[in-house]
Amino acid sequence: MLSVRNLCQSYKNGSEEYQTLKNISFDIKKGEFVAVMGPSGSGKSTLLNCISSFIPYDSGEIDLDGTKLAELGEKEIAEIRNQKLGFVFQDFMLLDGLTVFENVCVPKVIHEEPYQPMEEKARKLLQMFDIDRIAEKYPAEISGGQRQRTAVARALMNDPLIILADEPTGNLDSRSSEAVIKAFIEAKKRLEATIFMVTHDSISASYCDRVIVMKDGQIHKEMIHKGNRKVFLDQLLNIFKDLNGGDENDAD
Amino acid sequence: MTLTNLLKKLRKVNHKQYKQFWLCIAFANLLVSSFFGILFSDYIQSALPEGGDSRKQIYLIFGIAVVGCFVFVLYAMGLFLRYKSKELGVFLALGTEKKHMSNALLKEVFSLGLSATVAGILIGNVFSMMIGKVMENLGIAPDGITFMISLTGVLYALAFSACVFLCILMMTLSFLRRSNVMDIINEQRRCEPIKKQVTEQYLISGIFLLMVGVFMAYVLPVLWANIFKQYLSSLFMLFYGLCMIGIYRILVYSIVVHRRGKDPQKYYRNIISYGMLKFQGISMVRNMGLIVLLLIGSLFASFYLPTNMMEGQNQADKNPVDVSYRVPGTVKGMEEEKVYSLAEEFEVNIQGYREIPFIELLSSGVNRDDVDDNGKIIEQYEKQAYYRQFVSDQELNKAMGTNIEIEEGTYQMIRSSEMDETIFFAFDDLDLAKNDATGVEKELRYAGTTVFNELIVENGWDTFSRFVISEKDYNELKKGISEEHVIRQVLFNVNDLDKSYDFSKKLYEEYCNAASEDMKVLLFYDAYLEKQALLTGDEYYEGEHIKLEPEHPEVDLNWKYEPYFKIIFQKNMLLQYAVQFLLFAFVAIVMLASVGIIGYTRSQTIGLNNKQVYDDIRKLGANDNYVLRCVKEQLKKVYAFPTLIGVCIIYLYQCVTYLQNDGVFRSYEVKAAVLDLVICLAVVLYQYIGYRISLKEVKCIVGLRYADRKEAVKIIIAKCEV
Repeated sequence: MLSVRNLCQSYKNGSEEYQTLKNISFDIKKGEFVAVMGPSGSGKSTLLNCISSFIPYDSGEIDLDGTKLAELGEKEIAEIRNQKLGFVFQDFMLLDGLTVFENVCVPKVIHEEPYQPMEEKARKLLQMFDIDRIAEKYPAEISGGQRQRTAVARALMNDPLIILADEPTGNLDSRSSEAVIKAFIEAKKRLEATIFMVTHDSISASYCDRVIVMKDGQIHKEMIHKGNRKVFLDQLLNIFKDLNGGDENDAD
Repeated sequence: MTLTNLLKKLRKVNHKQYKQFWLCIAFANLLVSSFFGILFSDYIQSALPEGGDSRKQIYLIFGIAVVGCFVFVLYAMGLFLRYKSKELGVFLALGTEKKHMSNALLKEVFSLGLSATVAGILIGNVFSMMIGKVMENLGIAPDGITFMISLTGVLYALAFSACVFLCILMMTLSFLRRSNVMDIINEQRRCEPIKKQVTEQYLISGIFLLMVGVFMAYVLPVLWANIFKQYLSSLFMLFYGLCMIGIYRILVYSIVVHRRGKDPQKYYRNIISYGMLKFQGISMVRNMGLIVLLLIGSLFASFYLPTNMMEGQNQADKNPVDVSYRVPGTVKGMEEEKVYSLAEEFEVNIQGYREIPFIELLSSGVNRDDVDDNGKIIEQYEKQAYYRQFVSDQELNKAMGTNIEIEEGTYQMIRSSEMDETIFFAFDDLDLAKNDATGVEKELRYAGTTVFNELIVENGWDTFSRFVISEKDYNELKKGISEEHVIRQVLFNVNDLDKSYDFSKKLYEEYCNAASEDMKVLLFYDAYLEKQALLTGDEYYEGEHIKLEPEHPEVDLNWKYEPYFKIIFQKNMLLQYAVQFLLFAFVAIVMLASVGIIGYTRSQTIGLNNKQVYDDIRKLGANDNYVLRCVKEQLKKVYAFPTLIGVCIIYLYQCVTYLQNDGVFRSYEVKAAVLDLVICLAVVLYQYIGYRISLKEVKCIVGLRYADRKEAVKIIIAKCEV
């Protein structure tokens, strides 16, 4: 469903050029929950931003359900973002001036869809993530976990092919983080959502089907979650221990 | 629910940002158009002295004020875009077409900008009309001109508005042209760190450049002219550029350098706030520099009032007589008896009434108006320069009770206690006097000066110079002189100065009514120069006749025979310079308003940019007090440091100016310096109030305080529910 081939990206700082992504290739199947992990500066967020078309890339190919993103114009990219991608950001990116309910509706509002099915869908998602009680509240009036669950609901509003989540638990405490991850699992289970998540948090990653570990702009390792989550978590922690030369801190 | 509805709702919810942006543009246009409206009106133009320093200074300082207004609009625009960036980024990320959002934003900026500009210009012109009418009612312009805004003023204001409007549109377009969504989203957290290595030498070089700049651009040209009688090129003004570089360096040092030093505790206490400041270093320093410049300009304009008031007060204090006027021999109607009877009518007792008969003689002089190619002053001796007034030692002694004896063939120049020779004037410039009617002339030799403050007319130089000669020379030169060249100098005091206002006003009226047509000439009028101009076919502008205003002694007529009434002078001192005072005060207000808005918008930017960092340090265990301290440290950099630098620089500059005038600090200059200091303290207070307001706002932004009590209660309840 999502296919990334030989993706390269670089940026310039003065006269020096830095290679942030070096020949990245991987695939994600429908309904898969994939995490990308790696030390700081390994290129995980850049990878996500390239897939989101938020930033340009130098070479390679990103194919989303048969559509090559590089070939699209601005209008088509906007259409893809609205219809085929769902976004969850670390700092929620909710619009402070809109209520929780209105924030969730935004993707459909952009697409100018009729209000009745839109409201129905929004209510359903709010119930699903247990935030229907706060539907009329503004982002400033709710907790971090509730804000992120609102963002997840918003990401699912247009039934996207894939949800792209950039450090969704980065600003949350462990309880709220767990609630957000459970929201993703719920979405995967009930809506067959595909999720691609960049995270630092090994515990969050341990809920995923697969973890792509990145280092220095390359894929260092791919790990498949088979069976026990605790075992998988231990494996992830060990990987990070190796990556950081014995220091587990970077993997939280 | 449509996108248009959502955008409308967001506009409504975020009305504060819209209002702030709108007000900034409207305010800038209001200030600039109202000032242009006043400055370029016929009313003010006729009231301002032709040429002269006041006019140039007003234009120069207002130029800086306009730049200040322009910049604060750009800052307000930047801040508005920063607020909009998140909204725009979210909509783009969620699939809104960029074109759609761009159009919406451009439309918003266009309508806000246009409405604010129109409102600003309209209110500005109404405002200038109101000020103009107030001035008109005070009657401080000559010839009863009515105040009306001029087309020139409106055109200048429109040009400014057009520039501002174009710039904000261009800023919006450049913001929208950002290539990717992440740039737009990250606009709120944009970093502008200063990358250069800043050492102590950097600070020392800054201070050095500042001092060199002041010396080369200000002190040296004056010293040079005084010592070598030669003007240095006006290009020396360019050395003020060094001052700007110096100030910039000092400011950069204050932002970038934070050392452990002797107080490590303090170093660690402020480590976070300093660290954050470094990341907005470039724009921060630019802001601080502009604040320094505007404060310097506003204080320079504000100092005009105390300087002139103290100078005027000093003039009144030094003059021992309460009334003094000159009457040419041809004029009838101002005889002693008439003055006494008028005084009686007003129950005023006249004391020490004296009349001193001066004669006007054509005299030699040294013209120092021109300079050669090297800027050196050319001293051109003129055998017949202009008319000057002479009195005999006997007549003077009789009137003044002195005992001056002047040797035949010599003269003493009459001067005030504060008159000193300058590069333009010397006491011994005269060596010949001639009775124009009889052709009798006498060579005269300089024999010193004699001090009579009450006999000084205008500045006491050039055509206003007066001399004492021997009785014999006086009588020989006076013989056959026409009546118009015999000038009766009248001096007297009154028993109670404070009660002499009505009498003085009436006497002024009588004096004006009695004045002959020949008397109604401009201050620098000289009959000989007029005759010469007529002979050569040149224009002689000083010969223009003026219309006297007998009922308005407060109007500055620039009149050669302006009488002196101490009580009128004291009461109307403010009014006499009212136009200049008002214009300078207005410029100072424009500049201070710009400073206030720049400080406020910069503080908000600090709050917005560092919000995330404050949240992070809270996660690291910082309590609200710690965060508040960080915020305060940062805002202090916006307010305290530029205020300190700006105030110190301009105050020292002003003190040097007082000192440089004549090399000593005179008592009235000390008084003016004290008043200047009070103004400086008022500006410091203004900045402190600005700091408190900004602090309140930033506290809301970083979550240290809720914007209002209602909101706070709502949020606390919500948190309890969570």
